[in-house]
Amino acid sequence: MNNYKYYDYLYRNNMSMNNQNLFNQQEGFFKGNMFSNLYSGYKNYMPQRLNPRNEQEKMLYELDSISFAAHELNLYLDLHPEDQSMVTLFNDYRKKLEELTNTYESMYGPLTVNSNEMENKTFSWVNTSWPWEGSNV
Amino acid sequence: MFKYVKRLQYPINIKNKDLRMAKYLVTQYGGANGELGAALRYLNQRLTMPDNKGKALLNDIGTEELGHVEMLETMIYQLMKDATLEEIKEAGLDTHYAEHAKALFPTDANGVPFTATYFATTGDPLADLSEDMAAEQKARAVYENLIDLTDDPDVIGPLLWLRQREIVHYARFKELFEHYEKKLKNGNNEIKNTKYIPNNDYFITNLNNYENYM
Repeated sequence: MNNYKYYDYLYRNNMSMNNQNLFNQQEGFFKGNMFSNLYSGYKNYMPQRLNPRNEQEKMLYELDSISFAAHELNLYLDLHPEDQSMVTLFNDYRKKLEELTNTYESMYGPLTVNSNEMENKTFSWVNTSWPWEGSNV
Repeated sequence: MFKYVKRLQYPINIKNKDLRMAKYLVTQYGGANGELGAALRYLNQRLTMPDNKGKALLNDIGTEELGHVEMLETMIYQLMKDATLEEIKEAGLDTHYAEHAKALFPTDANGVPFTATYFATTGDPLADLSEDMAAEQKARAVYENLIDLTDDPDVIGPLLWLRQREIVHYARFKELFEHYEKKLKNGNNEIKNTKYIPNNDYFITNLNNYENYM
């Protein structure tokens, strides 16, 4: 429970608070499901509580959770493109993701090869670790 | 067109090697109900979905499944990377080592290689979506079997997460299935006019004939 302090920011800015069927983006990301009416656990297992080991991971997990929330709404909106409040929420998450991605990349290097952080003398895409290696995941 | 993002959809940090678990997990990489099969099945079926909602959903879930392929690869890689040759032999992975060393190779848990028959595409949207719903349920069941086989929290965490994604995808496919079923029953022109899908016209013709007999 002590990792809650890392997510104060997300709680204060809980964009999904007004929709009662949606978890907030942190809980939804931990569970792998943003929709409380679709959630179904297995036996008595609880979702893993992610404990960031450093500042980079803390920011990455924030970015992961915002990206996940946007993706969940994306799948929902594919079938309900007229749902105006969900379109608005999707765009809130999308803009937040763009903002966080820019901040993260400026500190820790590019996540995509078309990032502005590629403006270096050396080609920085090859200098950051790959996600399966465990240090940048 | 696809664009790579250099992070996992959900973080994986497995600290302890476990070759037996790697041997079981590979089935969700290259087995009949695995993520590779799911990704390619949906990205293959999306072209013949009869409306834009279907094309979008199959495209977007198929793309997410590619991210799950990467998660499974990561888990298998991390479970195997520090293993000694002795440990590889002991876990029964010596046959894998003979052909692939420590490289990944998509098979099921019994070593049966990945095959395109896992795409299971008929061109009939209702049959294809039924296949997709079944695939998500089967993958959920396999994830539960895999969770039963380990007590490592670093492995259980991502498996619980991936299992939950099967539940969400199943619900979305079911919603799309019911949306098409309703459209067909209402004789909706949007589906009828999809000339690119002969099977779809066939379905409507049969449905109309069926109603004539009633």
